[in-house]
Amino acid sequence: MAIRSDEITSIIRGELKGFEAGADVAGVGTIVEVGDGIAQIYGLSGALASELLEFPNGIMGMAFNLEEETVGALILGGYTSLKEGDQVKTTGRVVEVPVGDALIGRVVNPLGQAIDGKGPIETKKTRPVERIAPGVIVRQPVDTPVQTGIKAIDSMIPIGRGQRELIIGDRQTGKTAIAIDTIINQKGQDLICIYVAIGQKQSTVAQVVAQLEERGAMDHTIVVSAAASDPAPLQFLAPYAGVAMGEEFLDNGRDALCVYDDLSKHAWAYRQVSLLMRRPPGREAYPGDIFYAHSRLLERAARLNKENGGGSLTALPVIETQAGDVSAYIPTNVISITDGQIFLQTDLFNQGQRPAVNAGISVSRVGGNAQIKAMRQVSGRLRLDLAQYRELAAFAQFASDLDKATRDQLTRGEKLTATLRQPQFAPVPVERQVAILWAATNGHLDDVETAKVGDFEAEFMRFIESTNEGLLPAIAKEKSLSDDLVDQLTKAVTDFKEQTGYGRAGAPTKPGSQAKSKGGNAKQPADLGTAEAEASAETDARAAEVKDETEASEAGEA
Amino acid sequence: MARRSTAARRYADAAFQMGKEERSLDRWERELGVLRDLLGEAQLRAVADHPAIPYAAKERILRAAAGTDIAREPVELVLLMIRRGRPRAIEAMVDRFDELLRRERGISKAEIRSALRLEDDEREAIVARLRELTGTKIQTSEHVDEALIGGVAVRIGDTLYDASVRSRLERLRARLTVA
Repeated sequence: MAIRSDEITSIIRGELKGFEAGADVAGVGTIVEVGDGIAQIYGLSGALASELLEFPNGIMGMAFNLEEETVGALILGGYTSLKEGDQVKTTGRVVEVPVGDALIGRVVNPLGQAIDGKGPIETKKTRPVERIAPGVIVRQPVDTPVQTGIKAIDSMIPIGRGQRELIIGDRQTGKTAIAIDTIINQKGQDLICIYVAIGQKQSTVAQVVAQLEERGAMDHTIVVSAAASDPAPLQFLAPYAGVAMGEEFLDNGRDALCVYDDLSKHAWAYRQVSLLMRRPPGREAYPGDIFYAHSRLLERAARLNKENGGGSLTALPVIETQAGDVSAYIPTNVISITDGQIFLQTDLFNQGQRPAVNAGISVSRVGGNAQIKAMRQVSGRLRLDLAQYRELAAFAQFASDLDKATRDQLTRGEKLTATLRQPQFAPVPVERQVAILWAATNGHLDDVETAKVGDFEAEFMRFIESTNEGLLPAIAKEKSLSDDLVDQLTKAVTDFKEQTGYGRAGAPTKPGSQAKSKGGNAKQPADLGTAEAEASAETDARAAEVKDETEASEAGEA
Repeated sequence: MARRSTAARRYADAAFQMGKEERSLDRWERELGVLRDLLGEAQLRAVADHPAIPYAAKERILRAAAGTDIAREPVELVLLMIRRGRPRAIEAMVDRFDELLRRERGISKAEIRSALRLEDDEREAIVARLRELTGTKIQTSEHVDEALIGGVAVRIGDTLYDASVRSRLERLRARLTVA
């Protein structure tokens, strides 16, 4: 469609009509030093703390250090065209970003400018990037869950709306994967997600955006990106810009989730600008207020009470550790600020335990209140069994002759661990999580080959849906496992095992039958391949010897 | 305008307080001006700055150059700064002293830049308006700056009153490109 030239003229005329031609009054200063993303400016005596400054060529800056005669400014953008002697003006505004629904589905930089090539963002509303967190009076305890769709997290490390849960682990342990899965699982629900990428490779950010788009998750997501190639001041600003966008939803009574990926790089960026500004270095050369930089950011996560709209802002900060060292400066800081942490470990990841969540040292200090009752009913047992399993597993590696109770415990732990495995981009709805975890914690998977637990889960779900389609919706609706629902689940799992031949329920109870019903134990190591897997296969075999009795008692229970 | 060193400010503050107590600010102003001009001379400046010349020699030369018309204190101040290794801060110190003096007398120094040379009535109108805005007397300095295209831009201290055509065009461009 061709645009007529008189239309353009009228648009321009409309713009000009509102143009105030009066004198422009502004505080001014002169650049005396510029470089590395910062500038020293002589003058600007009236500048406010974190005021937006205007450099030549439309480059913006932020007043960072206010000194007696000079102002140290962060340059938010390319600084190569600036030179000594250039004039800098104050704007009377503190640094702010556009906010609102128009941002959803977009990829923006920390100043809220679109970087996805989909045109400018149509919103008039802005918010300052720095704001004091909501106070005690307006908050209420966390009581609604954020369903991540990840079995290991929703069952044992539940996250509530308004909570701050740290995701911590070495590189390549699946930290981002957890965050992305959580975002994907919010599809079609009421939680707006904001993914803040700090200091990441542009290619990684592009990949994340592509994955979100592919799974339809960009419809409820804002991506704020300050990549590794962006100047450190922008990387420093990114999480504050993201949380400001989230606060718009919080204050309008809606729910938002902010992922900061990751705060280690944010700390590096802040260290860089602080050192360039000649602020004194402290431990690991981080500035003295690095703790406050993170605490004031994460404090802005909140659950507001009814009188204040009842909105929530959940924070999922990510920290990358070096060689599992969680006692380094930044990890300990952020651990102490957050309401719990999800630990991801390289060795678990390499064993094929994915997500590589270490359930032993991961905690959620407030999320338990937010879990639905049905999940609490199954997760208590799960935690206990896994804890006992971990204790025994370490010790049982050296023991050749174990009593039956111990072997049972080991088997159970193994099956539970296998149940918690989950591929990426495959979030599980909470009612399905309850169903499979119920089956696992009640021993219905003890006789299923470990490598087949995943298949068991998938087929079992299909089975329930085809034979008793009201069951899963009923769990989701009632949110607790009533006796009636437990009976239905028991019946479903018994029927399922009978029909498919998983385990040995209904099969003749004699040694060796396990191999027959499962189609052979020999296949298993090929799947896992690692030394640990082989070890676990041995355990399997050991466990199989005593299955007879176990099964007998199990069948009795059922 | 270059960055003043903190030291220059401290010396100027001390001189100003002294002058104010002794009610000799006018004399201080005049004599510091003379000393600044004196040190502005390339040869004398080279001597004052030179690290290899002993202080005693510098003192003798400066006292001789200053003559006997100048009171003791301003000369001592300048000598003190030389002795402390701050000869380069002397000019900034005098600037700061003048600024303090203007503040004391309620005068603002306005730097007026205009695209064309100002006519007398224009200058009067600008000064009258500035007096109204700042509530102080106005001391002006004028420059012609063709880059402004038209209109005037007045800078008083760290505040810029920009009514030039260039700034209006810039604002217009910002407005049209953002929308």
